[in-house]
Amino acid sequence: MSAAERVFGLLLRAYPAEFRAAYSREMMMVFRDQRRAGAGGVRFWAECGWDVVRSAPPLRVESWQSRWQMDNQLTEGAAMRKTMAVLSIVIGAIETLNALVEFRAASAVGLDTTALVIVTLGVLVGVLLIASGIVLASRSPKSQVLPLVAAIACLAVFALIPRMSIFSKMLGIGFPIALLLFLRFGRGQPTRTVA
Amino acid sequence: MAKATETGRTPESHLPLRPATFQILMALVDGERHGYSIMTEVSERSEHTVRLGAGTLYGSLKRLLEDGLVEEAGERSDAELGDERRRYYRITKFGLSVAKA
Repeated sequence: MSAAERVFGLLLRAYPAEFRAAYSREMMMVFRDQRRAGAGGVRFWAECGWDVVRSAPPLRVESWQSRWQMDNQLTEGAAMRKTMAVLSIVIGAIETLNALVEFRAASAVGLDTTALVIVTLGVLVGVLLIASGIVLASRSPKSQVLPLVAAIACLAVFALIPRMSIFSKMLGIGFPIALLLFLRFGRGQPTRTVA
Repeated sequence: MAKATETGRTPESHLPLRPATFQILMALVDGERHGYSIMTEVSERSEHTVRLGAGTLYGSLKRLLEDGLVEEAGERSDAELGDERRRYYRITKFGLSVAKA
């Protein structure tokens, strides 16, 4: 690399990193072509400098804007994830407690098989929801699978079990649907435009 | 009424074009070109009154690509300029309608 190319390489540092990643090779090639065609001297370098002064700041501003928009989208996604994680843990804990209370009540009058199955399923769903909340909060790469399983299990259990209050059913069916919608649409993945 | 693109923008919504952008579009009307070829074509078309620098050229190309007025046409070498592979650009139909508008 010639001294002139090294200087031009330094000038390119005025441009944002993503722009350089996309175009610096081509810009250097153009510079080499210009040099081969006889460009040089004070006027040429003044034009190069002026071109950088004119074109780099708007590209920097565009880069900051696009990064800012992306950060905002990520922040919204993170807030939604946190909300879903907290709701999942709280509802899971309520479901588990509710199942245990029902188990205690049923034990007092004699526990039949159906009641035992309902209590077991209730505890299972509650624990699954708590685990989903923890996974969602931890941003684990596997955070899709467990909440999905929990939401489907929750829906299945609460749709099938008839002995539940309307409130329990609304919570047990409404939340998994919200969780499924969040997993599908609300994970905060930015719809990124090429910067 | 001019036809809108997939992004819902009409050719008129891109007007007025910056002089550099217009010159680049005009340079691409005749066919695909790489960066240096665009630069020399713009200079010749304007009888050397418009001289695009590399930053202005690629900054404009970046925006033209994002707006769908120009698209990449692959990489290949230019026999006149050596073996280095160069990225070629071509004007899109939408770009043509913007240049005509």
